[in-house]
Amino acid sequence: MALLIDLFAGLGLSLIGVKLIASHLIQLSGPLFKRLIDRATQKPVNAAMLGLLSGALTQSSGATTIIAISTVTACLVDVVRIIPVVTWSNVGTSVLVILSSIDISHAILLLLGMTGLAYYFDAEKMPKVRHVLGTFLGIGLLFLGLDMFISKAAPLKSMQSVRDFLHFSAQFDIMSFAIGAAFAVVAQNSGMVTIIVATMNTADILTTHQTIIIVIGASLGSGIATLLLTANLTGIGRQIGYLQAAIKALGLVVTLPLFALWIHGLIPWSARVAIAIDGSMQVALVYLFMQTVSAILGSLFQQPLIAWAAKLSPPTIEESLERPRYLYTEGLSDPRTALDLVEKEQSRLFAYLPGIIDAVRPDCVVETAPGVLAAANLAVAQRCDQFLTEILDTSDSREVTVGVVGAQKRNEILIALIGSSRDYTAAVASAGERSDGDKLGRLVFALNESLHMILLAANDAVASRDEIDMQVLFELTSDRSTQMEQIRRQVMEVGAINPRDHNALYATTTLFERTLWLTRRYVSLFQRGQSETEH
Amino acid sequence: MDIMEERRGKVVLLTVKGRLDSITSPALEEKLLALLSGNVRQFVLNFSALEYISSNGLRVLLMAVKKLRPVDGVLALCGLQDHIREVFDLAGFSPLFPIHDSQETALKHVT
Repeated sequence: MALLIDLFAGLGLSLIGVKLIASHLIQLSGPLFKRLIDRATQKPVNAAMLGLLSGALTQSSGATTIIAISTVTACLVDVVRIIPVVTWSNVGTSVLVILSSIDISHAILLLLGMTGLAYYFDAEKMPKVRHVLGTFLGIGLLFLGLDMFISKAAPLKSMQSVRDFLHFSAQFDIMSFAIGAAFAVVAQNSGMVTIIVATMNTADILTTHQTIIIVIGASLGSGIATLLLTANLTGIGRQIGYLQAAIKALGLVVTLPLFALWIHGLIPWSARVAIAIDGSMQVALVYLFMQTVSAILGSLFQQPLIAWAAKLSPPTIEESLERPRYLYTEGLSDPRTALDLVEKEQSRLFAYLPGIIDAVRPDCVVETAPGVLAAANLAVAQRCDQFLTEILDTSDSREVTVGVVGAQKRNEILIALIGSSRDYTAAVASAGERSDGDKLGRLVFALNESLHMILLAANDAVASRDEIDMQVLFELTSDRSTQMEQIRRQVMEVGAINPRDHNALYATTTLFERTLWLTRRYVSLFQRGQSETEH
Repeated sequence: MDIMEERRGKVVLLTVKGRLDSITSPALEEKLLALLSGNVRQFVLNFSALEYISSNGLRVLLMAVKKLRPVDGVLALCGLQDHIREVFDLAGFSPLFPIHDSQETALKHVT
């Protein structure tokens, strides 16, 4: 019993170690990853390198997959560019597995001692040091737990019941395979499973044959774990989950027959290699080999895999809307072209504004809720802002700087306009269904149709830059504060108004006025005289 | 929607009946464009039988104003029902179009 408790404690320490490593390394590498992502993913080779680094730092392909999903859904990169990162992160996770197969116990004890001292002197209270210390503590606990497991497991192999069980289970490879798969699904990390079973192999609890089968099973389990991890996602997020699982499955399909031949000594030199390399190193190499084969196959079949995943989980409407149509990193190579791209993107967003109002107009069938449309447009507008900052980073030209400042000003108003239109539709919706004879209902109808028409006219003016279009637009968007105040008074005079209608009246008229004012400001930036100085 | 056209000298009087919405407004747009290309520069639109106007209808009128401005043309409206007048006021059309209560005063205004 005491022996089992010792083993359990060793396993527990290792698990705490793995958890600490993962959580602290993600904190450390997440911002670094996001900073590097745009530059590194421009070339597949660099993207693969980033994947290796990310896998090594997070020690979890699942964690890299989640970070990759967040960068794609934030529109920092697209699926094609991120896939090499996800693919090669699997190979990166081998670092800890290889390290665990080497005797580094003295270095680990030294690391633990230093980490303990740092904690004693409250170094973890410094934000920059906290995650480094957490990672060191995790590594220390992981290896301490593994060492404890190995040293305490020695008597286990002499127990008759254990020997009988191992003898029994060694006859059924499928059982070892299933144990590996199940373990990896629960742990959500095949690297960790490999480290633990390799330790059991070193302690002679598992044979090398059994251990290798468990590691192969763990690879399948890791793919299943990724699918489970992304099961609650939709669209592109799910797509990346499918891709990661497919890459692991591909590796498994190809390597499984090779391992069968290896295990049965049918590959030349296999027996000699097995004698020359100790069991835990063999297991680590099997793990590395499987991850590398998966990554190579994933890279070779990238295009058909992406097409397959996109078919299984096409982008959601929100994801399609959130994707800029004209902004692409390569455009930054020529700052003037990049500025034109921003302007086209902004014009596209501006043209969407009447679509937000459509949701509250009669006889209009809208496919996307105004809140969703507005949120997607805001995301693209924010991407425009980032793009403009990136343009400034690439050029010292005064002309470009002036152009960026003008575009930033437009963007600021555009963001306010999208928000104002969204809030307006929400205010109209809060008024509820109204009858034709109802004073507030008539007012809301007139406000909707007027605002819709003015936004369309503003779009015409921006597109044509025609003097008369601009002139008419400015007349339509002249100051309405007095008019709105009069309307509010008229509606209140009709009779008692309930609090809900009172709020709706004030909200709709105020937001109508604000949206017109913002529209006027936005269009004024395109006036001929203005455009020469602003752009 | 029905559009009745009458000539009063150089002025074209259009009486619009029914609804002016996304389905019907292209017909009015077509009519106005045809008249404009036939060098008509003075219009009176009688909206006394107009029951409903949407943003599409408003946009057609705006298009006509934009085309008439550079050629010193005029488009006057008359007979607007209260709820239609409300839409015009909120759309900011009152300064763009002369709006009259009766057809006669509108015709007098444009000639």
